[in-house]
Amino acid sequence: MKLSKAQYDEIAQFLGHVQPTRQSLRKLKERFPGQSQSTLLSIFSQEYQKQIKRTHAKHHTAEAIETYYQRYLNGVMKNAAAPVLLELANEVDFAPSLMARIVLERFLQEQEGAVPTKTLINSMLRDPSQIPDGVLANQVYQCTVNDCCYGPLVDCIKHAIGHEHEVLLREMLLEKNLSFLAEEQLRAKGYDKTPDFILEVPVAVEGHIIHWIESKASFGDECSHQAYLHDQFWSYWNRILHFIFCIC
Amino acid sequence: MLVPHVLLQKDFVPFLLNFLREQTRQILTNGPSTPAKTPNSKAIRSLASQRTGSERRAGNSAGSCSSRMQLFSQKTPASSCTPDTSFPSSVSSSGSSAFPGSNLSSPCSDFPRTSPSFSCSPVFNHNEKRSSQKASLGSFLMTTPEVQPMRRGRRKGNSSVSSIGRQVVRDLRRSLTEDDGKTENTSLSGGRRKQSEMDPTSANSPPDQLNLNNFEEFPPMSAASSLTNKSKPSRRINPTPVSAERPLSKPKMCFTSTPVSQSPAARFPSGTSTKTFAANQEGNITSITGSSLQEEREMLKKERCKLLHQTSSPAGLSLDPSMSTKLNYSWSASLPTDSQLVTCADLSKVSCKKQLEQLAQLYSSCISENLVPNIFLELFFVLQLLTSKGTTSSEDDKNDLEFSQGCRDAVERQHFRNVHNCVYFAVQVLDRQFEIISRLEKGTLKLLAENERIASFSPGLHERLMKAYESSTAKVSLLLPSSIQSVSFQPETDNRSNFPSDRAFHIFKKQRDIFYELLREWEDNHEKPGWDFERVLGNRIRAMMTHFTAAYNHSHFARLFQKQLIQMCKGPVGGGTSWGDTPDQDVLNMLGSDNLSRLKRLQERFVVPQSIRGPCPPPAFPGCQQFFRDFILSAGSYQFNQHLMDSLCLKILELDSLTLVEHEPSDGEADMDEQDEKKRFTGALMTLRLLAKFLGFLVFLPYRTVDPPSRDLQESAVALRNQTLPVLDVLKLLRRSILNRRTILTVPWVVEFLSLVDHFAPFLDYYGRVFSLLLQLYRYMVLSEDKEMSFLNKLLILAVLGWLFQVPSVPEELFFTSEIRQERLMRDAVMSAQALDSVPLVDQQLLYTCCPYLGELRKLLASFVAGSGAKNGGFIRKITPTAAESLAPKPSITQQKLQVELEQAFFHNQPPSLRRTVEFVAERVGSNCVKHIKATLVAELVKKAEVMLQDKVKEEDAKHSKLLDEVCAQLYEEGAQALHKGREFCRLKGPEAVRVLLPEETSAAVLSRAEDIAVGLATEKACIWLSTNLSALIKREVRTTFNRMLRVQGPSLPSEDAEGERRSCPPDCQHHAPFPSQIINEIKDVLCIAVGPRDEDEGICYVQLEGLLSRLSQTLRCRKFVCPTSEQQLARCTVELASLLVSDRVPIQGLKPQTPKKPERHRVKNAIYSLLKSLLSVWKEDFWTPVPVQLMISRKSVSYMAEVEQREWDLFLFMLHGLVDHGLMGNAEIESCLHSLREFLWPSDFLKELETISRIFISEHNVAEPRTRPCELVRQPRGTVAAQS
Repeated sequence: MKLSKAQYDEIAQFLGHVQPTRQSLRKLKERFPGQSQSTLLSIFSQEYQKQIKRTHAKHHTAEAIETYYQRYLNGVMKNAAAPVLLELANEVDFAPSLMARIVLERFLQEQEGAVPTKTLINSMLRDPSQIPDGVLANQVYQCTVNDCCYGPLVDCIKHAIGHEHEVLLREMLLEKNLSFLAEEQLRAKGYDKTPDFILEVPVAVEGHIIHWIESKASFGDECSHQAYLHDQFWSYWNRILHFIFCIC
Repeated sequence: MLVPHVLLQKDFVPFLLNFLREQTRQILTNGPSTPAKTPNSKAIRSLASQRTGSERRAGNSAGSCSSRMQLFSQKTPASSCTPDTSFPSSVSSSGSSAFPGSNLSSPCSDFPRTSPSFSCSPVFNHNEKRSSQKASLGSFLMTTPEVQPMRRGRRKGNSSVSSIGRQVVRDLRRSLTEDDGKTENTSLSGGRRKQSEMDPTSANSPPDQLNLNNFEEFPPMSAASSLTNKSKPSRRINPTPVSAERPLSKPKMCFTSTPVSQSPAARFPSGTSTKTFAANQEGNITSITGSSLQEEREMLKKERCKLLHQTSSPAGLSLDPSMSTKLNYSWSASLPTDSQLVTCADLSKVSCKKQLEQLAQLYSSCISENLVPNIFLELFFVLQLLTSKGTTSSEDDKNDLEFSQGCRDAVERQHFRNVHNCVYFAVQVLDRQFEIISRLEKGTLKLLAENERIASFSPGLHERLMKAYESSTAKVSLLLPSSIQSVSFQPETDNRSNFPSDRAFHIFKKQRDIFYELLREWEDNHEKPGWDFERVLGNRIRAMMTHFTAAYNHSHFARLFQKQLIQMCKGPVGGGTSWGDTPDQDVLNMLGSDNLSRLKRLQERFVVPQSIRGPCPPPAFPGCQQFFRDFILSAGSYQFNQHLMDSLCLKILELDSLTLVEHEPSDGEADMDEQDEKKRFTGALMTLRLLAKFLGFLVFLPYRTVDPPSRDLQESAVALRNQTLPVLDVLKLLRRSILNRRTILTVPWVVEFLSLVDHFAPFLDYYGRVFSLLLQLYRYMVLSEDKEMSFLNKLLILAVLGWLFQVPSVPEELFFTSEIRQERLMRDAVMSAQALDSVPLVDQQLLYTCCPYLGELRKLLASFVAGSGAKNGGFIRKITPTAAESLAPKPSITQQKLQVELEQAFFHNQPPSLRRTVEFVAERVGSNCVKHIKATLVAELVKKAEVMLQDKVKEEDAKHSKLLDEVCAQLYEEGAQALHKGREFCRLKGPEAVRVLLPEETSAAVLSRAEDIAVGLATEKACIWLSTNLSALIKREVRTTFNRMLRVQGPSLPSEDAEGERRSCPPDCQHHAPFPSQIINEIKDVLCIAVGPRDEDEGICYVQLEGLLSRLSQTLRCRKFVCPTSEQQLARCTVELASLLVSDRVPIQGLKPQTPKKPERHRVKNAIYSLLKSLLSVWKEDFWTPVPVQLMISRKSVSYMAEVEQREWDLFLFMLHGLVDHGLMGNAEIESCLHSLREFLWPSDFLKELETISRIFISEHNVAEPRTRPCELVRQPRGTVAAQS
């Protein structure tokens, strides 16, 4: 789907400084009824991620972590049922999932005396029932569920979207009768880096020759374009030449 | 690390190297060779000469100092005669050319005007000392009569006589050494050991006695071979000169400078020597039978040793500093090592371990950081230390101590006084340099892995070496290019239209005929003794050259010359050339590939010089290159040289821009193409090196001097020559290659080019910059495996650069003193499409082909094994002469050869495009054949393996590799039919392709012949590839499959479900179901609201929830878009939703008051029941992954209940029963979950309720087997429940 630069800028402008909650998303939808929810969510997510990248470091200083943890403890002491963590995250302008991670990490560190492994933390965030403290488990879950830009749920949704679009893309290629090699086949052939599809016979799209297609299934703003180019595409380019950057 | 200390480093590294050489000097004089001492030739000259001067003045008594001085001074030929380098007269003395360090620059090796006999320098070398030699031999012969009968007696088995003999020996020995007690009861071998211990002193004996040790006089009918003779007579080779020479790895020919000038002698080197010394020896040799001769010699050697010892030991180690013969005697001292037993190096006898370790660390860092001029030279040195023999006996130590007390300052303690220390140090360094060592070729690795000193000093290193050896695939053939070649046919471009006149055309035709006539004559005769190039061919060449009146002819002839040069001298690998025209190919066609490798190995052992020449031989023109060099020199034509240079430059530039087209991923089907690319690269590289060498030869020819000219002339010469432009802008090419990351192609040929510089050229501004750039590159290229450049690529560049720095005309101060101009090239290098450095192009074969001197490491180790053979039984294997009948298939061999020649002739007469077509077809069909086999046969086999492995997957991990091997072994048998299938494929496809590609008008006979050849070549190519790679391929494929099976089997879900996806879509599925991502998103929204925080009036419509669940069911039924991750997430989310529903946390709205009489609460409950029911059915029916329903009874879910004030347990119980009814959880499982819930901290009233619920659940299930609906039973007010408890 095409979106003009002006429209995109307008959306980005609106997003400015919002919290990644469903309330914000609802407002966004009301403001731009012409855009699909997935487009908006994708842009929202990207804009928010940019914002978080800028401020990430300041939330991870030892002092900040300690402050957050103490505030969490105090908050829960007063009222365990209140959305303490979520409100804390919103107050300091940080993603709730990430806040949950910070506090959880701090909590485990205190309990077990050692820095917990990333795997453990991730697994607890995915399934909070593993968290040894019941109150914290609920708090963490509340954060991850309410976060629409970060967290295991969002990650999974993104992954699912990616997969679905790959299937769709395959469908479309088959429909158009384009012979292609998919990622699995490429891996079996020993390609070290593989795009989603390599066209066995290149095609021309709007005057550009296309050799391969990579579906990112996310909104392609300039920044992510740059990042993807850097991470993946040059390494493909060294191998396969022209590509199409397919963004749905 | 060390690099930052630039200033210190400048002086420190040469100091360290000299210190080590100095310290080990005494030990190493016994070693198998000494050329490694020449590294110091690169030490700072100024420092050296300063020292030389001052220490000379200081007098001769300063033993250690003077020896160090010698170390420095050994850099020039002069050192062989006198340590003072400034005496040009000594340099020009003909004897000097005999020494390996010196002949680098010696004229006789590289220039034809010296006669062949002249270049056979060992002979010459000894001429000077002929008289003394005779004298000593005479005195020596006097002792033999006594010994001889005794030895004979012993041989007969007469013990009494032999004991007398031994007694004599012992007496003699006693007279030499103090401690009789030790040797009193030693057996013969003990005696030998003794002898080896004595040897160091013999090494230090005055020069006039050295010839006693001389190899020529005492050909190596050594202890090792004599023992072999006794134990395995069948394997004995008669002591013909060749066989006697070879297995003992004697450095006989090391005196001659190059394989070229040796080549007449190298084939039968001892033939020459026998002749020379016929007067002394022949009588002896011929009068005694082979085996007794052997023993005689042994005895003689022993006697000689004693004599030597006698004369030298009383005087102590008389180290005469003016004794420039040091090199000389150390050579000869090294000769008898084969007959000695190696001193047993003992870890417990190592002294000053700590210092040694520190030294080793320091030294290793220097090597690792490329601070030494040549890393392989250092490795050679280390191996010398490792294999050093002798001077461990206490009396030697004592001598040494006494000796050192006088002249050595306290700071310089002798750390390398004994073998133990040397070996310890060597093992330490090897351990640290393991990464390099492990990349050496397999033979060297084998010798290292089997080295018992390493095994005893560092079992860890031994083990790693063992592993490296076992996994190494780097078999390398050191075969030199064969010199016998057929004259190539002349290709295109020579027709009339290329010439200005008929006359010119005819002249060229004539010239070509003459040229080939000369070439043939050279081929036939140049190995004959007494044949002299200049004398025989010189005038004819010059006469031919005078015909070149027109410039046109010069360029034509230069092109022909160059083509012929490339064709004949490209190198042993013949990479890049097409089928049938490499020299080895003839042989291959004659023998077939099976026999070829064996033949090659055999030939290698005969032809490859086994002498240890040190890791830095001078530049040489081996084999056929000799002809071309001599031709240029004899022709002496300026015009021709100019045209040839033009032609060489052009070709070099063309080849230097080689690009590898099809560089694809590293395995899979690209295998063959990749190999072809590698071959192409190898071919280009070898050709470039060859051409660059000749270009360098031509460019620097006018300035070449026989001796290093004095430095006074330097300034004016440099000023003069700085004005001219370089013929080929190597600096620019080098810079560009660094920028484009193509150094792996460019540096090796630039090195060849520069290796022929004259003595002043490096001081020119231009070449100074080139050297400085190379030096910078050398420093920069620290060995490690990284993305930018593969390890072996680096190793090759380091090896050739290191070699260049040792070339005699390259000034020695260059490495240590020259300022490194920091060009930023390396960092600016860009990743371009033509980059080669990152491609793993170099393998050990190429490395050793480009740097044959690396083979010296192996020879050194091999000679150690030979020397210590008597003790550990590690003999060099003898070549078993084969019986006559094995040559039976000879007629067919000649037939095959004829066949090959016929093919050549066939192509000769056809347009070149025919040949190209045939070769192209052969290449492609061969490649396609392999691909086809992979896709069909191999794929089938892998499937078969999968079936075979299927049942066994579940066995223990440990058995897996064994299991794999078993299965693979079964498959290999079937794999054998690949060859048959391959042949079939080629026979089918080859002719088709040839027919299509050749012109329609091609005659039938030509066509069918071309088809046959194409099929033959294609089959050969495919079969060679298949027979070498098929098993590995099958194994790899099976392993991959197996690993996939393991993974599938491990964690619960994967590919079976993934496979099932497509199957399981309902037959009429339109794939219109909502996307999983959409559903997850919606459920997430519901959860958000349920978990809160939410607005007061926020809620979810019941209808919406109902719809969501039904869409969830649809989504899960259409498997098209579902992936495992999303399905798992859906499962988790729905369980969470159910928990929230059960605890009534979902604010359901919009319930229609269907039954208005019922209270609101009741309606809500019913709604929840219905939602839970559909959830249960979705879980049971639609999910493919296990749903984590047990989370319903986790503390987190139950705590939702605890938080509610009005707890509704009936929903919970309903859920539990539902789970059981739907078969999602078992009773026992639920019970245990409930039970474990009690362990947590709950409010006391809640805990009580929990217990009650558990009890109810358990009792219901135990009592009511066909029971009433649970919800009915439990549907009672909370109060009742509480009362019951």
